[in-house]
Amino acid sequence: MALRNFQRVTAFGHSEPDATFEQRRSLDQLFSLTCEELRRLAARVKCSDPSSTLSPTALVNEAWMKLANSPPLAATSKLHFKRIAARAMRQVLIEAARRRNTHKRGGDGEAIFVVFDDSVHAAATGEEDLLTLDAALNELARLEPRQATIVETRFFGGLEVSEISNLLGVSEATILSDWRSAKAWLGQALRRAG
Amino acid sequence: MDSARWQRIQDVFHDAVDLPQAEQVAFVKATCGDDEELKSEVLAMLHQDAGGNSLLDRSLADLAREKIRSG
Repeated sequence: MALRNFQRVTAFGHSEPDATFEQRRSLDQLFSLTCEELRRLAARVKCSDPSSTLSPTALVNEAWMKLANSPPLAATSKLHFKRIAARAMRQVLIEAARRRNTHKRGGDGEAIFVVFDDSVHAAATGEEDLLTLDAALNELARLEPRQATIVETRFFGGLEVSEISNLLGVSEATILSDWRSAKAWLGQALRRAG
Repeated sequence: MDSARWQRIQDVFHDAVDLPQAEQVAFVKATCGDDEELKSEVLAMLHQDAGGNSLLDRSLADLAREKIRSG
Protein backbone atom coordinates (compact mmCIF):
# COMPACT_ATOMS: atom_id res chain seq x y z
CA MET A 1 0.00 0.00 0.00
CA ALA A 2 1.79 3.02 -1.30
CA LEU A 3 0.04 5.37 1.07
CA ARG A 4 1.29 3.58 4.14
CA ASN A 5 4.84 3.45 2.89
CA PHE A 6 5.40 7.04 2.00
CA GLN A 7 8.50 8.56 3.45
CA ARG A 8 7.81 11.54 5.62
CA VAL A 9 9.76 14.76 5.54
CA THR A 10 12.07 14.43 8.51
CA ALA A 11 10.45 15.65 11.67
CA PHE A 12 11.85 18.98 12.64
CA GLY A 13 13.71 18.08 15.83
CA HIS A 14 16.03 15.65 14.08
CA SER A 15 17.37 18.40 11.88
CA GLU A 16 18.73 20.17 14.95
CA PRO A 17 21.78 18.13 15.89
CA ASP A 18 22.76 20.31 18.83
CA ALA A 19 19.41 20.14 20.56
CA THR A 20 18.91 18.02 23.65
CA PHE A 21 16.43 15.14 23.61
CA GLU A 22 13.85 17.30 25.38
CA GLN A 23 14.34 20.19 22.98
CA ARG A 24 13.96 17.91 19.99
CA ARG A 25 10.79 16.43 21.38
CA SER A 26 9.38 19.87 21.95
CA LEU A 27 10.37 20.96 18.41
CA ASP A 28 8.70 17.87 16.96
CA GLN A 29 5.58 18.64 18.96
CA LEU A 30 5.59 22.20 17.70
CA PHE A 31 6.12 20.95 14.15
CA SER A 32 3.11 18.60 14.32
CA LEU A 33 0.96 21.30 15.85
CA THR A 34 1.95 23.70 13.05
CA CYS A 35 1.17 21.11 10.36
CA GLU A 36 -2.30 20.65 11.85
CA GLU A 37 -2.90 24.37 12.01
CA LEU A 38 -1.79 24.91 8.39
CA ARG A 39 -4.10 22.13 7.18
CA ARG A 40 -6.97 23.70 9.10
CA LEU A 41 -6.26 27.21 7.79
CA ALA A 42 -5.90 26.00 4.22
CA ALA A 43 -9.20 24.13 4.43
CA ARG A 44 -10.90 27.27 5.65
CA VAL A 45 -9.32 29.42 2.94
CA LYS A 46 -10.42 26.96 0.31
CA CYS A 47 -14.01 27.23 1.46
CA SER A 48 -14.09 31.02 1.39
CA ASP A 49 -11.99 33.25 -0.83
CA PRO A 50 -9.03 31.32 -2.17
CA SER A 51 -7.34 34.21 -3.93
CA SER A 52 -6.84 36.38 -0.89
CA THR A 53 -4.83 34.41 1.62
CA LEU A 54 -3.23 31.50 -0.11
CA SER A 55 0.30 32.83 0.01
CA PRO A 56 2.61 30.89 2.30
CA THR A 57 3.47 34.15 4.06
CA ALA A 58 -0.16 34.80 4.93
CA LEU A 59 -0.80 31.23 6.05
CA VAL A 60 2.32 31.16 8.19
CA ASN A 61 1.40 34.50 9.79
CA GLU A 62 -2.08 33.28 10.55
CA ALA A 63 -0.74 30.09 12.05
CA TRP A 64 1.53 32.19 14.27
CA MET A 65 -1.41 34.29 15.47
CA LYS A 66 -3.35 31.17 16.33
CA LEU A 67 -0.50 29.36 18.03
CA ALA A 68 1.55 32.15 19.61
CA ASN A 69 -0.07 31.76 23.00
CA SER A 70 0.02 27.99 23.16
CA PRO A 71 2.51 26.46 25.62
CA PRO A 72 4.84 24.86 23.04
CA LEU A 73 5.40 28.30 21.50
CA ALA A 74 6.06 30.21 24.69
CA ALA A 75 9.83 30.12 24.20
CA THR A 76 9.86 30.38 20.41
CA SER A 77 10.58 33.57 18.50
CA LYS A 78 8.40 34.42 15.53
CA LEU A 79 11.36 34.03 13.21
CA HIS A 80 12.13 30.56 14.49
CA PHE A 81 8.47 29.68 14.25
CA LYS A 82 8.50 30.73 10.61
CA ARG A 83 11.33 28.34 9.92
CA ILE A 84 9.37 25.50 11.50
CA ALA A 85 6.23 26.58 9.65
CA ALA A 86 8.09 26.51 6.32
CA ARG A 87 9.00 22.88 6.98
CA ALA A 88 5.41 22.20 8.00
CA MET A 89 4.13 23.79 4.79
CA ARG A 90 6.44 21.59 2.78
CA GLN A 91 5.25 18.50 4.63
CA VAL A 92 1.57 19.32 4.13
CA LEU A 93 2.05 19.97 0.40
CA ILE A 94 4.15 16.87 -0.19
CA GLU A 95 1.63 14.69 1.63
CA ALA A 96 -1.09 16.13 -0.57
CA ALA A 97 0.93 15.56 -3.75
CA ARG A 98 1.67 11.96 -2.75
CA ARG A 99 -1.97 11.22 -2.12
CA ARG A 100 -3.04 12.70 -5.44
CA ASN A 101 -0.37 10.73 -7.22
CA THR A 102 -1.58 7.53 -5.59
CA HIS A 103 -5.15 8.26 -6.64
CA LYS A 104 -4.14 9.08 -10.18
CA ARG A 105 -2.28 5.84 -10.56
CA GLY A 106 -5.31 3.98 -9.27
CA GLY A 107 -3.72 3.35 -5.89
CA ASP A 108 -5.58 1.88 -2.99
CA GLY A 109 -8.30 4.48 -3.26
CA GLU A 110 -8.30 5.56 0.34
CA ALA A 111 -10.42 8.68 0.24
CA ILE A 112 -8.62 11.24 2.32
CA PHE A 113 -9.68 14.82 1.97
CA VAL A 114 -6.58 16.86 1.31
CA VAL A 115 -6.92 20.54 1.83
CA PHE A 116 -4.28 21.82 -0.55
CA ASP A 117 -5.10 19.48 -3.36
CA ASP A 118 -7.26 21.60 -5.56
CA SER A 119 -6.37 25.02 -4.36
CA VAL A 120 -2.65 25.41 -4.40
CA HIS A 121 -0.60 23.44 -6.82
CA ALA A 122 -2.52 20.84 -8.68
CA ALA A 123 -3.23 22.39 -12.05
CA ALA A 124 -0.45 24.87 -12.71
CA THR A 125 2.18 22.34 -11.79
CA GLY A 126 2.06 18.59 -11.61
CA GLU A 127 2.35 16.94 -8.25
CA GLU A 128 5.28 15.09 -9.82
CA ASP A 129 7.09 18.43 -9.90
CA LEU A 130 6.58 18.91 -6.19
CA LEU A 131 7.70 15.38 -5.43
CA THR A 132 10.80 15.81 -7.61
CA LEU A 133 11.55 19.08 -5.87
CA ASP A 134 11.17 17.40 -2.48
CA ALA A 135 13.60 14.63 -3.38
CA ALA A 136 16.09 17.09 -4.90
CA LEU A 137 15.86 19.24 -1.77
CA ASN A 138 16.70 16.21 0.37
CA GLU A 139 19.75 15.65 -1.81
CA LEU A 140 20.71 19.31 -1.46
CA ALA A 141 20.34 19.05 2.32
CA ARG A 142 22.91 16.25 2.25
CA LEU A 143 25.33 18.33 0.16
CA GLU A 144 24.81 21.73 1.79
CA PRO A 145 22.24 21.90 4.61
CA ARG A 146 22.21 25.69 4.71
CA GLN A 147 21.17 25.92 1.08
CA ALA A 148 18.29 23.51 1.56
CA THR A 149 17.10 25.62 4.49
CA ILE A 150 17.24 28.73 2.33
CA VAL A 151 15.09 27.15 -0.38
CA GLU A 152 12.67 25.67 2.12
CA THR A 153 12.15 28.89 4.06
CA ARG A 154 11.94 31.10 0.99
CA PHE A 155 9.80 28.93 -1.26
CA PHE A 156 7.61 27.04 1.21
CA GLY A 157 7.57 29.56 4.04
CA GLY A 158 7.61 32.81 2.09
CA LEU A 159 10.37 34.28 4.28
CA GLU A 160 12.11 37.43 3.12
CA VAL A 161 15.83 37.34 2.32
CA SER A 162 16.47 39.62 5.32
CA GLU A 163 14.65 37.20 7.62
CA ILE A 164 16.62 34.23 6.33
CA SER A 165 19.80 36.24 6.79
CA ASN A 166 18.90 36.84 10.45
CA LEU A 167 17.89 33.25 10.97
CA LEU A 168 21.07 31.74 9.59
CA GLY A 169 23.49 34.46 10.62
CA VAL A 170 24.92 35.01 7.15
CA SER A 171 24.79 38.05 4.87
CA GLU A 172 21.96 38.71 2.45
CA ALA A 173 24.48 38.56 -0.40
CA THR A 174 25.38 35.02 0.64
CA ILE A 175 21.71 34.04 0.83
CA LEU A 176 21.09 35.41 -2.67
CA SER A 177 24.12 33.70 -4.12
CA ASP A 178 23.23 30.37 -2.45
CA TRP A 179 19.65 30.75 -3.67
CA ARG A 180 20.73 31.42 -7.24
CA SER A 181 22.88 28.33 -7.63
CA ALA A 182 20.40 26.15 -5.72
CA LYS A 183 17.55 27.36 -7.91
CA ALA A 184 19.50 26.64 -11.11
CA TRP A 185 20.42 23.16 -9.91
CA LEU A 186 16.92 22.30 -8.66
CA GLY A 187 15.41 23.70 -11.85
CA GLN A 188 17.65 21.34 -13.80
CA ALA A 189 16.53 18.41 -11.67
CA LEU A 190 12.89 19.31 -12.40
CA ARG A 191 13.58 19.63 -16.11
CA ARG A 192 15.35 16.29 -16.28
CA ALA A 193 12.50 14.58 -14.45
CA GLY A 194 9.83 16.25 -16.53
CA MET B 1 27.88 13.74 -5.83
CA ASP B 2 29.60 14.87 -2.64
CA SER B 3 29.76 18.29 -0.98
CA ALA B 4 33.18 19.15 -2.41
CA ARG B 5 31.95 18.41 -5.91
CA TRP B 6 28.83 20.54 -5.38
CA GLN B 7 31.02 23.36 -4.12
CA ARG B 8 33.20 23.09 -7.24
CA ILE B 9 30.15 23.18 -9.53
CA GLN B 10 28.86 26.27 -7.74
CA ASP B 11 32.23 28.02 -7.89
CA VAL B 12 32.40 27.67 -11.67
CA PHE B 13 28.72 28.61 -11.98
CA HIS B 14 29.13 31.80 -9.96
CA ASP B 15 32.30 32.78 -11.82
CA ALA B 16 30.51 32.35 -15.14
CA VAL B 17 27.01 33.57 -14.44
CA ASP B 18 27.70 37.30 -14.54
CA LEU B 19 29.84 37.16 -17.69
CA PRO B 20 28.21 38.21 -20.96
CA GLN B 21 26.34 35.21 -22.29
CA ALA B 22 28.55 35.00 -25.37
CA GLU B 23 31.61 34.45 -23.18
CA GLN B 24 30.14 31.95 -20.78
CA VAL B 25 30.60 28.77 -22.80
CA ALA B 26 34.24 29.50 -23.61
CA PHE B 27 34.92 30.32 -19.97
CA VAL B 28 33.30 27.13 -18.70
CA LYS B 29 35.11 24.99 -21.26
CA ALA B 30 38.45 26.54 -20.35
CA THR B 31 37.81 26.21 -16.62
CA CYS B 32 36.56 22.64 -16.66
CA GLY B 33 39.23 21.20 -18.94
CA ASP B 34 38.65 17.47 -19.45
CA ASP B 35 35.94 17.25 -16.83
CA GLU B 36 32.97 16.82 -19.18
CA GLU B 37 30.53 16.14 -16.38
CA LEU B 38 31.42 19.35 -14.59
CA LYS B 39 31.14 21.25 -17.84
CA SER B 40 27.72 19.92 -18.75
CA GLU B 41 26.38 20.38 -15.22
CA VAL B 42 27.48 24.02 -15.08
CA LEU B 43 26.24 24.80 -18.60
CA ALA B 44 22.87 23.29 -17.79
CA MET B 45 22.64 25.43 -14.66
CA LEU B 46 23.58 28.56 -16.61
CA HIS B 47 20.91 27.75 -19.16
CA GLN B 48 18.39 27.30 -16.37
CA ASP B 49 19.45 30.56 -14.73
CA ALA B 50 19.13 32.52 -17.97
CA GLY B 51 15.69 31.40 -19.00
CA GLY B 52 14.52 29.08 -16.33
CA ASN B 53 10.88 28.88 -15.54
CA SER B 54 10.75 26.13 -13.00
CA LEU B 55 8.49 25.68 -10.03
CA LEU B 56 10.94 27.76 -7.99
CA ASP B 57 10.61 30.82 -10.19
CA ARG B 58 7.00 31.14 -9.21
CA SER B 59 5.56 31.54 -5.75
CA LEU B 60 3.05 29.16 -4.29
CA ALA B 61 0.56 32.01 -4.24
CA ASP B 62 1.00 32.65 -7.96
CA LEU B 63 0.45 29.00 -8.70
CA ALA B 64 -2.82 29.15 -6.80
CA ARG B 65 -3.95 32.23 -8.71
CA GLU B 66 -3.15 30.64 -12.07
CA LYS B 67 -5.26 27.70 -11.08
CA ILE B 68 -8.18 29.89 -10.11
CA ARG B 69 -8.00 31.84 -13.38
CA SER B 70 -7.79 28.74 -15.49
CA GLY B 71 -10.84 27.71 -13.61
